[in-house]
Amino acid sequence: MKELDKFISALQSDLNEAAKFVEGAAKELCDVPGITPTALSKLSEILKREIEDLVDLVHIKSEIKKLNLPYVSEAVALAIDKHSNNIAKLRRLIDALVNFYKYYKED
Amino acid sequence: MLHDIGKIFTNYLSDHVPETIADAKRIASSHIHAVVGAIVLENAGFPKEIVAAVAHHHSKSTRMIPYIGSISKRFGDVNDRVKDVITKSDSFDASFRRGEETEVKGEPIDIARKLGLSVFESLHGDETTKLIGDGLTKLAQLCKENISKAISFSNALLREISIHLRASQSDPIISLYAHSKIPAAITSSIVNFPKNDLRLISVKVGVSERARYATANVAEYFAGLHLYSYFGLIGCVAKSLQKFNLNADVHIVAESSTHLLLILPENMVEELIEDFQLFANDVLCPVELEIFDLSPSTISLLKSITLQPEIQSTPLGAESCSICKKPSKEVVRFPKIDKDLVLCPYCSRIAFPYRIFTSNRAYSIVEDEGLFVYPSLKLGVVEGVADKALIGRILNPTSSQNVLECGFPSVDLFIGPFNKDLKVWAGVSLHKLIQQYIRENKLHAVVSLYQIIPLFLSKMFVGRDVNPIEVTSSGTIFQCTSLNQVAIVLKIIEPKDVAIGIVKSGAPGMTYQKLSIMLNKLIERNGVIAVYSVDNMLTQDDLHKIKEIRLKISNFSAFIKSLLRARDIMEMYLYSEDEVERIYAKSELLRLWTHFKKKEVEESLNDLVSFIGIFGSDETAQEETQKEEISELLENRECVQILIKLVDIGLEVGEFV
Repeated sequence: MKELDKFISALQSDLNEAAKFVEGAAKELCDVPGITPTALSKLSEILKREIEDLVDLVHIKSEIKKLNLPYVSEAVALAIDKHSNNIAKLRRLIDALVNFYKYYKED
Repeated sequence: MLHDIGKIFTNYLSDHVPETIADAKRIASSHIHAVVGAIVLENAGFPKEIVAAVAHHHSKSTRMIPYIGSISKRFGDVNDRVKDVITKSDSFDASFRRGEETEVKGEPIDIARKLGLSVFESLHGDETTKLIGDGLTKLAQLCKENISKAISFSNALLREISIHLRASQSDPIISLYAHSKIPAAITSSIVNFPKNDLRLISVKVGVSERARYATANVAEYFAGLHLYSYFGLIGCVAKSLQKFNLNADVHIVAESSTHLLLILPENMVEELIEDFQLFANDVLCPVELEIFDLSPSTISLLKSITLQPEIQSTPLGAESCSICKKPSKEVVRFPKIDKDLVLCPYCSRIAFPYRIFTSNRAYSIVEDEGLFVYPSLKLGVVEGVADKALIGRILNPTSSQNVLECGFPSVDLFIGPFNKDLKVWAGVSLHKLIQQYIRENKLHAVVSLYQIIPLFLSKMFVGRDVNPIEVTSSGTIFQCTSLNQVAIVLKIIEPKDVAIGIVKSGAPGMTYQKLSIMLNKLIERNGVIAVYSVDNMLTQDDLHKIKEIRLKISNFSAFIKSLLRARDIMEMYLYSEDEVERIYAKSELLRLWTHFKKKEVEESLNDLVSFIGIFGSDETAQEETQKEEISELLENRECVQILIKLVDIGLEVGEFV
């Protein structure tokens, strides 16, 4: 899980840095039990919800944690706090993760 | 600014004022335009000091010595300080005008002549003689009432009547307007800050990165962005200069939507840089400054600075603007246009300029909120001639009389609408020519080029089914229907160190950015007129093959739609400077690849690939490619460029079949 670890670590500090590992991370996620295309799509959908105040933010974080996706849920929930002023970029990055995952996962 | 007003009569309109010319000849036999100008201003009712200054502006010349007495007797004398300033600025100005006596095709004034602009007509189509008469009478009155308004008015009047006239018959590349503005800026600098050196400052706003967000739904954003940039630029300079009690209409010697040329004393530069940083923060675009030292007969580059916009973080709960990506709490939605379009208040105004700005109306820049807002500069644009205007312009006037009525100089800027039916986009850059003039220390030619190019490019497009997307002091990007129209435009410009790029249109923002990047690359090639075109010449055999391919694809329109989307994403992938945007584009491309496979069009795609022959033999094209290999392929920029070409040809197939 080399690339996935790097991705998760970078996600908490620099989204541009995380972008360098997103494809490798998605590839490694294909072999992680508990990760499915539907669950990842759900994650992306939740992240796209409008955030108007702190209550929205906490609610979104709780929904993401509820999905209980190994590696991903915890990392994305933390990243929301870290990048609350640049959620659009985080959304893009997670969309890229989902796209890559689907590309490598599907036959 | 008025010192050479007499040249309009001596060089162009001598038949209209025979008595004035005869009267002037009785006073002096040399530099007769100075005396003619003085008589004209005297007749219009100008204050005696101004009339005398114009009459004496060549009095330091040895050829004028025999006539100084008669000039003084007729118009009065000027004091030593005025004489000294006139002499200094005149000799400074003259030092840049030596040796420019050969006629060269394709030079600014030559372009004006080709466009059929008559010397007897003003810039916006009124009879010059009447305009001068009315204009000078009003200006004489303003000189007595409000000097700031008089300066703005005089700038407006001279622009209307003299921008397409030569400064003299032996100076083919210098406009009379440039010849009026340069000495004025030099004089103002010398009078106000006599101990300071002079600086020529070139300002360019890099709008291309931001312009790429112009989608088909908000394509007028191009026009809005240029308008926002233009008002911000002149407002920024006006505000900065006001602190030093200087008038921006004097020191801005040339202007267009994204370019400015300024002549200023050196002590103003630091203050100006600080204000341009605020401007960059407001317009969210980088601002390039080139600061040149102006010494007699020499222009030398001192430093280049690029001011990047400083993006400030905003509080929680803000939504990202679809265009500038800046988070905002007060977003505007446009459900009828695009349900996903979410714009911040600034972009919502920039995206639809035609809703709030109207041609033939005056706009003032004030220290307050307005139609456009510049929060960091604390400036706004309001309609009309405001009493507290720092500077003002009349937008796209329909006649020069309207310019004189409002008293603001004119600005001709395309404000929409965007035309989706014009499929060929072309760009022309005169950057090399400008650089060459700077190297040759041709100050007046640089200023003339900066002033004339945007104006005449705009005029050239009128009635030609050509839509200007951007018209600046160093070139243009425009839409048209065919390559023939591009040829017509080039015939007028007569390429000389001109870069030309031609592409077929895709998503407006992306096409614009692609063309801008291409032009920049072409400029770097030394002395080459380069043309890039994706216009493929297909034979009858080709068309037959294409039809065969078309039959294999059950849903051809969906296929073409997917190709269009793929090309847009690939362009985003190639040209995005943001790592997250780039990787997102790559992931979208790979997802599209999966989509193509699902739709069972892969075989047809392979047919297309082999038809074009990009990847070599049919066998190679039909080999099953591993997912990782496809991903690696996309990491190679050249491969992506080839893929874009493939899609372009795929799209042509769509058009032909």
